[in-house]
Amino acid sequence: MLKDITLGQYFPGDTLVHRLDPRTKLTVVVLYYVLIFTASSPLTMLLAVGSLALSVYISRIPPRSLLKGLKPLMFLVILTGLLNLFYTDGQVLVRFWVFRITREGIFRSIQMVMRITLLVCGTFLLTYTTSPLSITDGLERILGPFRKLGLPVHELSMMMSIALRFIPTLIEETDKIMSAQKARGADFDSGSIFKRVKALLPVLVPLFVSAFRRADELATAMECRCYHGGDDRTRLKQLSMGRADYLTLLFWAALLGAIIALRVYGL
Amino acid sequence: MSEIRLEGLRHVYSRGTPFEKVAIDHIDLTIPQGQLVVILGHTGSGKSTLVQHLNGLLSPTEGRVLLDGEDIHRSKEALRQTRFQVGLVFQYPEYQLFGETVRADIAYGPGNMGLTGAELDEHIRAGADFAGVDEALFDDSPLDLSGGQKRRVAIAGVLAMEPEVLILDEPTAGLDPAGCQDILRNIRRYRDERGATVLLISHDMNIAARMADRIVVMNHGTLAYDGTPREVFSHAAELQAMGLDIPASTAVAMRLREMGFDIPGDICTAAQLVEAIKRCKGGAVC
Repeated sequence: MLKDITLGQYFPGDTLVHRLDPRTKLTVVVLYYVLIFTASSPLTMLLAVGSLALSVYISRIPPRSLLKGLKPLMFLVILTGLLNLFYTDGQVLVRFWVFRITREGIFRSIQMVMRITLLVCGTFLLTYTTSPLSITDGLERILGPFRKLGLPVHELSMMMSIALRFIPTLIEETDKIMSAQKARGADFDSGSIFKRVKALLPVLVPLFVSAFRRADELATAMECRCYHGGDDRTRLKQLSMGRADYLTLLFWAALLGAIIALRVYGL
Repeated sequence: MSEIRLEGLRHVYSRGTPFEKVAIDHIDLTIPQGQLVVILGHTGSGKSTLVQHLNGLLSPTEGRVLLDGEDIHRSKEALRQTRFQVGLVFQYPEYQLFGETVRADIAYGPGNMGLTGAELDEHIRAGADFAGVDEALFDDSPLDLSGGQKRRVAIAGVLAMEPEVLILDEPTAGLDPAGCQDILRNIRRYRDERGATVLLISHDMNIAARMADRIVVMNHGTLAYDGTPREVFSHAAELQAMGLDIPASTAVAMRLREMGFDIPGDICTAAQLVEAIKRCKGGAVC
């Protein structure tokens, strides 16, 4: 059950998408967010889907695992779809009881569901093809200029990379503790919701105990290696932008420009 | 009676992802009631995956797990009963402690079985006694105990369910020698008094040679050897090639044979070694 949580999971690989500089990928993801909310006509939506499909194809990430990331959000997607379906004014097609479905509603609903799906899939493509460490490295570099304004950029990215780093560890730990308690007859899958929450107590207590222990050990280990924050720290892996990065950025900027232009001309 | 039988057991992790891994592959194994089996194998050979099938924590990708001839996955209720019949102590079990008191923690398993009152209390006391937990500790928090004591409380939590089959995944890892001896003695006592089947995963060859009725060696997810300690350790050179250790006595015997002494090739305990040397001394070589 816990294996369904794929947040921050990285599928190692050696494709163009994997090799891009994390700064490029972060920028592209932000461009893509703007893009999917600019695209509104069938033609532009098609472009948004097509460009993501192309990226997924190049990355060799199985589309099935991308869609798996949608599972926990299914409720939100369906709710958004239904709300837009029933609560958009326009030309009424069907009317029953207090509900009415309009032509605009159907279109809006499809549009919103697609937008959320693309948003999630785009984000997952980033986390699937980029190791958490490079994502935070990229973020630190992109946010670098804000340091002058007093933003603790290094500390924030260090906190983020530690948090990301420990998600799989804690999931594994949770799995282990759940197995151990199941071996002692714990039952997490039946009974009322109240009973199920109570059944989790024997998992949560050891989990918190071990999380605090780990935090403590990590702090000691970092101090032993003379960690003292970001000043004057050099890196083992220097980020560098190559030709592929500039071409990728150019491609997405051009695509976004095209979609904005299409929207302005009402296509 | 509880006989465990594995038929063509195969388990694949993360099927359909780049992390796909065959952990165990077509294992057939029958373990009769009352046997003390030591499972050997280097890290990643599939030992832990194998034992987690025996109480149904993992379900086989292919094959069946039979307890007394019946598939443990035949129903949800059967699976739950299997968990009580087959007690599994994980590696570093002290990390699963959660109770406010030692007593409450040990009571978790038998409580889940539905025991209450005097019967529950009796199970707690029996479990604590078998695991060597002093009753004076019953009202302390398990988190305040020393490492060795925590381990014993965790083992007591499983023994209190009085399982007919007891599986322990490296119960002595990270303990001092005295603590090791203590825990192993307690496991043996549980086996002898209850007639339970015991499966022990261990890296310590001396323990394996001394305690086991039968040794099962795993390598790359398959069974490499299965037999008595003397049979298994007669393949000392092959075991070393697999990256496994051999008992100290086997190593001495091997060296003596290389030097030309007439020592049999299936020595695995100190007593057998002494016997063989005595016999050799009476013979013609020395």
